[in-house]
Amino acid sequence: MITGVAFGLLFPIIAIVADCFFFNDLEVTFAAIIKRINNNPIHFIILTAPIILGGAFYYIGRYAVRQRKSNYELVQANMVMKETNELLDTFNYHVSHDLKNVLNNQIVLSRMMSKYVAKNDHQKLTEISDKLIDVSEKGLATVMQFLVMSKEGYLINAETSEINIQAEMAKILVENGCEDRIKVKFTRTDFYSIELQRKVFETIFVNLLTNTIKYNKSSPSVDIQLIKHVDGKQILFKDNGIGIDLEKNNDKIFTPFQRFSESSDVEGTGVGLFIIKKLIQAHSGTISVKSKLGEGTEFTILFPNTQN
Amino acid sequence: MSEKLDFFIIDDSDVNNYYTEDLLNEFEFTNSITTFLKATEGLAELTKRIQEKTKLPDVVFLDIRMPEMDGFEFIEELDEVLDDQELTSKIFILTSSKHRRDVESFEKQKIACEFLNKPLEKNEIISMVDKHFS
Repeated sequence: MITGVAFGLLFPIIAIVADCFFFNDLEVTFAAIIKRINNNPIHFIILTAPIILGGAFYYIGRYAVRQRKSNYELVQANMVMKETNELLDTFNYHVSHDLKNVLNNQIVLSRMMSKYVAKNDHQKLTEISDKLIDVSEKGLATVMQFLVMSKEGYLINAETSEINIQAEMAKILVENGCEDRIKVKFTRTDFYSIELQRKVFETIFVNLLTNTIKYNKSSPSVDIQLIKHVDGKQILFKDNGIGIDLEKNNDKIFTPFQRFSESSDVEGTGVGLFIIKKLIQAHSGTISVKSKLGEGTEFTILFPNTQN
Repeated sequence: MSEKLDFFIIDDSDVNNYYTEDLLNEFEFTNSITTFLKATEGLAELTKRIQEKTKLPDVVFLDIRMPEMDGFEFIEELDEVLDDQELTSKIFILTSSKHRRDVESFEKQKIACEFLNKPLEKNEIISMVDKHFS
Protein backbone atom coordinates (compact mmCIF):
# COMPACT_ATOMS: atom_id res chain seq x y z
CA MET A 1 0.00 0.00 0.00
CA ILE A 2 2.81 2.40 0.93
CA THR A 3 4.46 1.88 -2.49
CA GLY A 4 1.13 2.76 -4.07
CA VAL A 5 0.79 5.96 -2.04
CA ALA A 6 4.41 6.94 -2.68
CA PHE A 7 3.95 6.39 -6.40
CA GLY A 8 0.72 8.40 -6.35
CA LEU A 9 2.40 11.31 -4.56
CA LEU A 10 5.55 11.23 -6.70
CA PHE A 11 3.72 10.79 -9.99
CA PRO A 12 3.19 14.56 -10.69
CA ILE A 13 6.92 15.21 -10.18
CA ILE A 14 7.90 12.28 -12.37
CA ALA A 15 5.44 13.51 -15.00
CA ILE A 16 6.92 17.06 -15.04
CA VAL A 17 10.48 15.82 -15.13
CA ALA A 18 9.60 13.48 -18.00
CA ASP A 19 7.85 16.32 -19.77
CA CYS A 20 10.94 18.51 -19.41
CA PHE A 21 13.12 15.74 -20.83
CA PHE A 22 11.01 15.41 -23.95
CA PHE A 23 10.07 19.02 -24.69
CA ASN A 24 12.77 21.20 -23.05
CA ASP A 25 15.80 19.45 -24.55
CA LEU A 26 16.75 17.82 -21.24
CA GLU A 27 16.69 21.13 -19.37
CA VAL A 28 15.34 20.51 -15.86
CA THR A 29 15.51 23.89 -14.19
CA PHE A 30 12.85 25.60 -12.08
CA ALA A 31 12.05 28.09 -14.87
CA ALA A 32 11.76 25.27 -17.39
CA ILE A 33 9.41 23.40 -15.12
CA ILE A 34 7.15 26.47 -14.69
CA LYS A 35 7.18 26.90 -18.47
CA ARG A 36 6.13 23.29 -19.05
CA ILE A 37 3.33 23.63 -16.55
CA ASN A 38 2.07 26.81 -18.20
CA ASN A 39 2.27 25.25 -21.64
CA ASN A 40 0.40 22.08 -20.76
CA PRO A 41 -2.68 22.47 -18.48
CA ILE A 42 -2.71 18.72 -17.84
CA HIS A 43 0.01 19.33 -15.25
CA PHE A 44 -2.42 21.37 -13.11
CA ILE A 45 -4.68 18.39 -13.02
CA ILE A 46 -1.86 15.96 -12.31
CA LEU A 47 -0.42 18.20 -9.58
CA THR A 48 -3.70 18.76 -7.79
CA ALA A 49 -4.89 15.18 -8.24
CA PRO A 50 -3.18 13.75 -5.12
CA ILE A 51 -4.66 16.49 -2.96
CA ILE A 52 -8.19 16.21 -4.36
CA LEU A 53 -8.20 12.41 -4.55
CA GLY A 54 -6.54 12.13 -1.14
CA GLY A 55 -9.18 14.40 0.37
CA ALA A 56 -11.96 12.53 -1.37
CA PHE A 57 -10.71 9.14 -0.23
CA TYR A 58 -10.17 10.46 3.27
CA TYR A 59 -13.81 11.52 3.44
CA ILE A 60 -15.06 8.30 1.90
CA GLY A 61 -12.95 6.33 4.39
CA ARG A 62 -14.23 8.31 7.33
CA TYR A 63 -17.79 7.87 6.16
CA ALA A 64 -17.25 4.12 5.79
CA VAL A 65 -15.78 3.81 9.28
CA ARG A 66 -18.71 5.72 10.76
CA GLN A 67 -21.15 3.66 8.78
CA ARG A 68 -19.52 0.46 9.95
CA LYS A 69 -19.61 1.64 13.55
CA SER A 70 -23.26 2.55 13.39
CA ASN A 71 -23.95 -0.73 11.61
CA TYR A 72 -22.21 -2.55 14.42
CA GLU A 73 -24.22 -0.62 16.99
CA LEU A 74 -27.38 -1.49 15.10
CA VAL A 75 -26.49 -5.17 15.05
CA GLN A 76 -25.74 -5.01 18.79
CA ALA A 77 -29.03 -3.26 19.53
CA ASN A 78 -30.80 -5.79 17.37
CA MET A 79 -29.27 -8.64 19.30
CA VAL A 80 -30.26 -7.13 22.64
CA MET A 81 -33.76 -6.64 21.27
CA LYS A 82 -33.91 -10.22 20.05
CA GLU A 83 -32.75 -11.49 23.41
CA THR A 84 -35.29 -9.31 25.20
CA ASN A 85 -37.99 -10.50 22.86
CA GLU A 86 -37.13 -14.11 23.46
CA LEU A 87 -37.11 -13.50 27.18
CA LEU A 88 -40.48 -11.78 26.98
CA ASP A 89 -41.85 -14.63 24.90
CA THR A 90 -40.58 -17.15 27.43
CA PHE A 91 -41.98 -14.99 30.22
CA ASN A 92 -45.32 -14.89 28.46
CA TYR A 93 -45.25 -18.65 27.93
CA HIS A 94 -44.64 -19.37 31.58
CA VAL A 95 -47.03 -16.75 32.88
CA SER A 96 -49.73 -18.19 30.69
CA HIS A 97 -48.94 -21.72 31.83
CA ASP A 98 -48.33 -21.16 35.51
CA LEU A 99 -50.98 -18.58 36.20
CA LYS A 100 -53.61 -20.33 34.14
CA ASN A 101 -52.74 -23.48 36.00
CA VAL A 102 -53.52 -21.79 39.31
CA LEU A 103 -56.83 -20.46 38.05
CA ASN A 104 -57.74 -23.76 36.42
CA ASN A 105 -57.07 -25.55 39.66
CA GLN A 106 -59.34 -23.11 41.46
CA ILE A 107 -62.05 -23.64 38.87
CA VAL A 108 -61.93 -27.43 39.06
CA LEU A 109 -61.91 -27.44 42.85
CA SER A 110 -64.88 -25.06 42.95
CA ARG A 111 -66.72 -27.28 40.51
CA MET A 112 -66.02 -30.29 42.66
CA MET A 113 -67.26 -28.36 45.67
CA SER A 114 -70.62 -27.67 44.11
CA LYS A 115 -70.86 -31.31 43.04
CA TYR A 116 -70.21 -32.57 46.58
CA VAL A 117 -72.41 -29.92 48.19
CA ALA A 118 -75.25 -31.41 46.18
CA LYS A 119 -74.25 -34.84 47.45
CA ASN A 120 -73.92 -33.51 50.99
CA ASP A 121 -70.52 -35.19 51.36
CA HIS A 122 -68.87 -33.21 54.15
CA GLN A 123 -65.70 -35.22 54.32
CA LYS A 124 -65.04 -34.66 50.65
CA LEU A 125 -65.90 -30.98 51.00
CA THR A 126 -63.34 -30.46 53.76
CA GLU A 127 -60.73 -32.19 51.64
CA ILE A 128 -61.52 -30.00 48.63
CA SER A 129 -61.58 -26.74 50.57
CA ASP A 130 -58.16 -27.54 52.08
CA LYS A 131 -56.82 -28.04 48.59
CA LEU A 132 -58.46 -24.82 47.43
CA ILE A 133 -56.75 -22.83 50.16
CA ASP A 134 -53.41 -24.43 49.34
CA VAL A 135 -53.78 -23.76 45.61
CA SER A 136 -54.72 -20.13 46.22
CA GLU A 137 -51.79 -19.50 48.54
CA LYS A 138 -49.33 -21.03 46.12
CA GLY A 139 -50.93 -19.03 43.32
CA LEU A 140 -50.35 -15.84 45.24
CA ALA A 141 -46.68 -16.77 45.71
CA THR A 142 -46.38 -17.41 41.96
CA VAL A 143 -47.86 -14.01 41.15
CA MET A 144 -45.46 -12.35 43.59
CA GLN A 145 -42.50 -14.01 41.90
CA PHE A 146 -43.56 -12.82 38.48
CA LEU A 147 -44.08 -9.34 39.87
CA VAL A 148 -40.55 -9.25 41.27
CA MET A 149 -39.30 -10.23 37.84
CA SER A 150 -41.05 -7.39 36.09
CA LYS A 151 -40.08 -4.99 38.87
CA GLU A 152 -36.39 -5.70 38.48
CA GLY A 153 -35.69 -2.31 36.87
CA TYR A 154 -37.51 -0.54 39.64
CA LEU A 155 -35.54 -2.44 42.27
CA ILE A 156 -32.24 -1.41 40.74
CA ASN A 157 -33.15 2.24 40.35
CA ALA A 158 -34.22 2.64 43.97
CA GLU A 159 -31.96 4.42 46.44
CA THR A 160 -29.19 2.49 48.12
CA SER A 161 -28.39 2.53 51.80
CA GLU A 162 -25.77 1.08 54.11
CA ILE A 163 -27.17 -2.30 55.13
CA ASN A 164 -26.02 -4.12 58.24
CA ILE A 165 -25.92 -7.64 56.88
CA GLN A 166 -26.46 -9.63 60.07
CA ALA A 167 -29.27 -7.41 61.33
CA GLU A 168 -31.00 -7.36 57.94
CA MET A 169 -30.75 -11.13 57.60
CA ALA A 170 -32.37 -11.62 61.02
CA LYS A 171 -35.14 -9.22 59.99
CA ILE A 172 -35.75 -11.08 56.72
CA LEU A 173 -36.10 -14.36 58.59
CA VAL A 174 -38.68 -12.93 60.99
CA GLU A 175 -40.63 -11.09 58.28
CA ASN A 176 -40.91 -14.26 56.23
CA GLY A 177 -41.76 -16.41 59.22
CA CYS A 178 -38.71 -18.67 58.82
CA GLU A 179 -36.74 -17.83 61.95
CA ASP A 180 -37.54 -21.26 63.43
CA ARG A 181 -37.17 -23.16 60.18
CA ILE A 182 -33.56 -22.36 59.36
CA LYS A 183 -30.31 -21.77 61.25
CA VAL A 184 -28.11 -18.97 59.95
CA LYS A 185 -24.52 -18.78 61.20
CA PHE A 186 -21.94 -16.12 60.36
CA THR A 187 -18.56 -17.85 60.60
CA ARG A 188 -16.44 -15.02 59.25
CA THR A 189 -17.08 -11.27 59.28
CA ASP A 190 -14.30 -9.19 57.71
CA PHE A 191 -16.94 -6.53 57.11
CA TYR A 192 -20.41 -5.89 58.49
CA SER A 193 -22.32 -3.77 56.05
CA ILE A 194 -22.82 -3.27 52.35
CA GLU A 195 -24.17 -0.43 50.23
CA LEU A 196 -27.22 -1.76 48.39
CA GLN A 197 -30.91 -1.20 47.87
CA ARG A 198 -32.73 -2.76 50.79
CA LYS A 199 -35.22 -4.47 48.44
CA VAL A 200 -32.41 -5.92 46.33
CA PHE A 201 -30.68 -7.33 49.39
CA GLU A 202 -33.95 -8.77 50.60
CA THR A 203 -34.85 -10.34 47.25
CA ILE A 204 -31.44 -12.00 46.93
CA PHE A 205 -31.43 -13.51 50.40
CA VAL A 206 -35.12 -14.39 50.66
CA ASN A 207 -34.63 -16.45 47.51
CA LEU A 208 -31.45 -18.13 48.73
CA LEU A 209 -32.86 -18.82 52.20
CA THR A 210 -36.17 -20.21 50.94
CA ASN A 211 -34.26 -22.41 48.50
CA THR A 212 -32.27 -23.80 51.41
CA ILE A 213 -35.50 -24.53 53.27
CA LYS A 214 -37.39 -25.92 50.27
CA TYR A 215 -34.65 -28.16 48.96
CA ASN A 216 -33.60 -29.82 52.16
CA LYS A 217 -34.01 -33.23 53.68
CA SER A 218 -32.50 -32.53 57.12
CA SER A 219 -32.84 -29.43 59.30
CA PRO A 220 -31.92 -26.46 57.09
CA SER A 221 -28.86 -24.46 58.05
CA VAL A 222 -26.67 -21.88 56.34
CA ASP A 223 -23.08 -20.85 56.91
CA ILE A 224 -22.33 -17.28 55.77
CA GLN A 225 -18.87 -15.80 55.42
CA LEU A 226 -18.26 -12.11 54.74
CA ILE A 227 -14.80 -11.90 53.19
CA LYS A 228 -13.02 -8.67 52.39
CA HIS A 229 -10.97 -8.81 49.19
CA VAL A 230 -8.71 -6.25 47.56
CA ASP A 231 -11.18 -5.92 44.72
CA GLY A 232 -14.43 -6.11 46.63
CA LYS A 233 -16.74 -7.61 49.20
CA GLN A 234 -17.48 -11.29 48.96
CA ILE A 235 -20.44 -13.05 50.51
CA LEU A 236 -20.19 -16.82 50.77
CA PHE A 237 -23.53 -18.57 51.29
CA LYS A 238 -23.21 -22.26 52.02
CA ASP A 239 -26.22 -24.44 52.80
CA ASN A 240 -26.83 -28.06 53.76
CA GLY A 241 -29.60 -28.66 51.20
CA ILE A 242 -29.99 -31.48 48.71
CA GLY A 243 -27.63 -29.82 46.24
CA ILE A 244 -27.85 -29.47 42.48
CA ASP A 245 -26.34 -31.77 39.87
CA LEU A 246 -24.13 -29.16 38.24
CA GLU A 247 -22.69 -31.56 35.69
CA LYS A 248 -26.15 -31.93 34.26
CA ASN A 249 -27.49 -28.42 34.85
CA ASN A 250 -24.49 -26.11 34.91
CA ASP A 251 -25.49 -23.90 32.01
CA LYS A 252 -29.10 -23.77 33.13
CA ILE A 253 -28.84 -22.87 36.76
CA PHE A 254 -29.24 -19.11 36.34
CA THR A 255 -31.60 -19.20 33.36
CA PRO A 256 -35.26 -18.41 33.99
CA PHE A 257 -37.96 -21.07 34.38
CA GLN A 258 -35.48 -23.87 34.95
CA ARG A 259 -36.30 -26.45 37.55
CA PHE A 260 -34.15 -29.41 38.31
CA SER A 261 -34.92 -33.06 38.68
CA GLU A 262 -34.18 -32.95 42.39
CA SER A 263 -36.89 -30.34 42.79
CA SER A 264 -39.86 -31.99 41.14
CA ASP A 265 -41.66 -32.56 44.44
CA VAL A 266 -41.33 -28.92 45.46
CA GLU A 267 -43.50 -26.03 44.31
CA GLY A 268 -41.73 -23.28 42.43
CA THR A 269 -41.61 -21.24 39.25
CA GLY A 270 -37.90 -21.53 38.55
CA VAL A 271 -37.20 -17.79 38.36
CA GLY A 272 -35.50 -17.19 41.74
CA LEU A 273 -31.85 -17.66 40.78
CA PHE A 274 -32.40 -15.82 37.51
CA ILE A 275 -33.69 -12.78 39.40
CA ILE A 276 -30.78 -12.94 41.84
CA LYS A 277 -28.23 -13.01 39.05
CA LYS A 278 -29.85 -10.08 37.23
CA LEU A 279 -29.91 -8.00 40.41
CA ILE A 280 -26.27 -8.75 41.24
CA GLN A 281 -25.15 -8.08 37.68
CA ALA A 282 -26.92 -4.74 37.76
CA HIS A 283 -24.48 -3.82 40.55
CA SER A 284 -21.53 -5.05 38.45
CA GLY A 285 -21.32 -7.99 40.82
CA THR A 286 -20.95 -11.66 40.08
CA ILE A 287 -22.50 -14.82 41.45
CA SER A 288 -21.17 -18.33 41.04
CA VAL A 289 -22.21 -21.68 42.40
CA LYS A 290 -20.56 -24.84 43.61
CA SER A 291 -22.67 -27.83 44.46
CA LYS A 292 -22.72 -31.57 44.76
CA LEU A 293 -25.84 -33.70 44.96
CA GLY A 294 -26.54 -34.52 48.57
CA GLU A 295 -23.84 -32.23 49.90
CA GLY A 296 -25.41 -28.79 49.78
CA THR A 297 -24.86 -25.76 47.64
CA GLU A 298 -22.41 -22.87 47.95
CA PHE A 299 -23.05 -19.50 46.34
CA THR A 300 -20.26 -16.94 46.05
CA ILE A 301 -21.39 -13.36 45.54
CA LEU A 302 -18.85 -10.65 44.85
CA PHE A 303 -19.63 -6.93 44.81
CA PRO A 304 -16.65 -5.01 43.37
CA ASN A 305 -15.20 -2.00 45.20
CA THR A 306 -16.19 0.59 42.60
CA GLN A 307 -19.72 -0.14 43.65
CA ASN A 308 -19.21 1.02 47.21
CA MET B 1 -68.43 -50.03 23.59
CA SER B 2 -67.18 -53.51 24.18
CA GLU B 3 -64.60 -53.04 26.91
CA LYS B 4 -64.07 -50.69 29.80
CA LEU B 5 -61.20 -48.23 29.60
CA ASP B 6 -57.97 -47.87 31.54
CA PHE B 7 -56.64 -44.34 32.00
CA PHE B 8 -53.21 -42.93 32.76
CA ILE B 9 -52.91 -39.33 33.91
CA ILE B 10 -49.41 -37.83 33.78
CA ASP B 11 -49.37 -34.40 35.38
CA ASP B 12 -47.31 -32.80 38.14
CA SER B 13 -50.38 -30.94 39.40
CA ASP B 14 -51.97 -33.19 42.00
CA VAL B 15 -55.04 -30.95 42.09
CA ASN B 16 -55.66 -31.46 38.41
CA ASN B 17 -55.20 -35.22 38.81
CA TYR B 18 -57.61 -35.16 41.74
CA TYR B 19 -60.23 -33.46 39.57
CA THR B 20 -59.71 -35.54 36.43
CA GLU B 21 -59.83 -38.74 38.43
CA ASP B 22 -63.03 -37.62 40.15
CA LEU B 23 -64.54 -36.73 36.77
CA LEU B 24 -63.56 -40.01 35.09
CA ASN B 25 -64.99 -41.99 38.00
CA GLU B 26 -68.44 -40.68 37.10
CA PHE B 27 -68.44 -42.70 33.89
CA GLU B 28 -69.53 -46.30 33.52
CA PHE B 29 -66.84 -46.95 30.94
CA THR B 30 -64.00 -46.19 33.37
CA ASN B 31 -62.19 -49.31 34.47
CA SER B 32 -59.07 -47.96 36.16
CA ILE B 33 -57.21 -44.68 36.62
CA THR B 34 -53.51 -44.46 37.38
CA THR B 35 -51.90 -41.09 38.06
CA PHE B 36 -48.24 -40.15 37.76
CA LEU B 37 -46.83 -36.91 39.16
CA LYS B 38 -43.65 -37.28 37.10
CA ALA B 39 -43.33 -37.89 33.38
CA THR B 40 -40.36 -40.20 34.04
CA GLU B 41 -42.52 -42.47 36.21
CA GLY B 42 -45.27 -42.63 33.59
CA LEU B 43 -42.66 -43.35 30.92
CA ALA B 44 -41.09 -46.11 33.00
CA GLU B 45 -44.46 -47.83 33.46
CA LEU B 46 -45.36 -47.57 29.76
CA THR B 47 -41.90 -48.78 28.72
CA LYS B 48 -42.20 -51.77 31.03
CA ARG B 49 -45.59 -52.68 29.61
CA ILE B 50 -44.44 -52.23 26.01
CA GLN B 51 -41.43 -54.47 26.60
CA GLU B 52 -43.39 -57.08 28.51
CA LYS B 53 -46.21 -56.82 25.96
CA THR B 54 -48.78 -56.49 28.74
CA LYS B 55 -51.96 -54.43 28.52
CA LEU B 56 -51.35 -50.75 27.86
CA PRO B 57 -53.75 -48.07 29.10
CA ASP B 58 -56.39 -47.11 26.55
CA VAL B 59 -56.04 -43.40 27.23
CA VAL B 60 -53.11 -41.32 28.45
CA PHE B 61 -53.70 -37.72 29.50
CA LEU B 62 -50.37 -35.92 29.31
CA ASP B 63 -49.50 -32.51 30.73
CA ILE B 64 -46.81 -30.39 29.02
CA ARG B 65 -45.07 -28.20 31.56
CA MET B 66 -43.56 -30.49 34.16
CA PRO B 67 -40.17 -30.29 35.86
CA GLU B 68 -37.43 -32.75 34.92
CA MET B 69 -39.15 -34.11 31.81
CA ASP B 70 -41.89 -32.21 30.02
CA GLY B 71 -44.69 -33.64 27.90
CA PHE B 72 -42.88 -33.35 24.59
CA GLU B 73 -39.70 -34.90 25.96
CA PHE B 74 -41.90 -37.72 27.19
CA ILE B 75 -43.27 -38.16 23.66
CA GLU B 76 -39.76 -38.21 22.16
CA GLU B 77 -38.59 -40.82 24.64
CA LEU B 78 -41.69 -42.92 24.09
CA ASP B 79 -41.15 -42.71 20.34
CA GLU B 80 -37.70 -44.22 20.82
CA VAL B 81 -39.02 -46.98 23.04
CA LEU B 82 -41.70 -47.82 20.48
CA ASP B 83 -39.17 -48.04 17.65
CA ASP B 84 -41.80 -48.12 14.85
CA GLN B 85 -44.26 -50.30 16.76
CA GLU B 86 -47.80 -49.01 16.76
CA LEU B 87 -48.93 -47.54 20.08
CA THR B 88 -52.31 -48.91 21.07
CA SER B 89 -52.89 -46.21 23.71
CA LYS B 90 -54.40 -42.90 22.67
CA ILE B 91 -52.41 -39.99 24.03
CA PHE B 92 -54.15 -36.70 24.72
CA ILE B 93 -52.19 -33.58 25.56
CA LEU B 94 -53.95 -31.92 28.50
CA THR B 95 -52.53 -28.54 29.36
CA SER B 96 -53.59 -25.24 30.85
CA SER B 97 -52.61 -23.12 27.89
CA LYS B 98 -52.69 -23.38 24.13
CA HIS B 99 -49.53 -21.37 23.64
CA ARG B 100 -48.12 -21.07 20.12
CA ARG B 101 -44.91 -22.86 21.14
CA ASP B 102 -46.84 -25.87 22.38
CA VAL B 103 -49.19 -26.00 19.40
CA GLU B 104 -46.15 -25.99 17.09
CA SER B 105 -44.50 -28.80 19.03
CA PHE B 106 -47.78 -30.73 18.98
CA GLU B 107 -48.05 -30.43 15.20
CA LYS B 108 -44.50 -31.73 14.75
CA GLN B 109 -45.00 -34.95 16.69
CA LYS B 110 -47.02 -37.98 15.63
CA ILE B 111 -47.82 -39.84 18.84
CA ALA B 112 -50.37 -37.67 20.64
CA CYS B 113 -53.68 -37.51 18.81
CA GLU B 114 -55.41 -34.50 20.36
CA PHE B 115 -54.59 -31.30 22.16
CA LEU B 116 -57.00 -30.57 25.01
CA ASN B 117 -57.20 -27.59 27.29
CA LYS B 118 -57.64 -27.80 31.04
CA PRO B 119 -59.94 -28.17 32.73
CA LEU B 120 -61.18 -31.33 31.08
CA GLU B 121 -64.93 -31.14 30.47
CA LYS B 122 -67.47 -33.95 30.77
CA ASN B 123 -68.69 -33.58 27.20
CA GLU B 124 -65.12 -33.59 25.92
CA ILE B 125 -64.55 -36.96 27.53
CA ILE B 126 -67.79 -38.31 26.08
CA SER B 127 -67.01 -37.15 22.55
CA MET B 128 -63.42 -38.38 22.88
CA VAL B 129 -64.63 -41.85 23.87
CA ASP B 130 -67.25 -41.84 21.10
CA LYS B 131 -64.66 -40.91 18.52
CA HIS B 132 -61.89 -43.30 19.46
CA PHE B 133 -63.49 -46.24 21.28
CA SER B 134 -66.99 -46.93 19.97
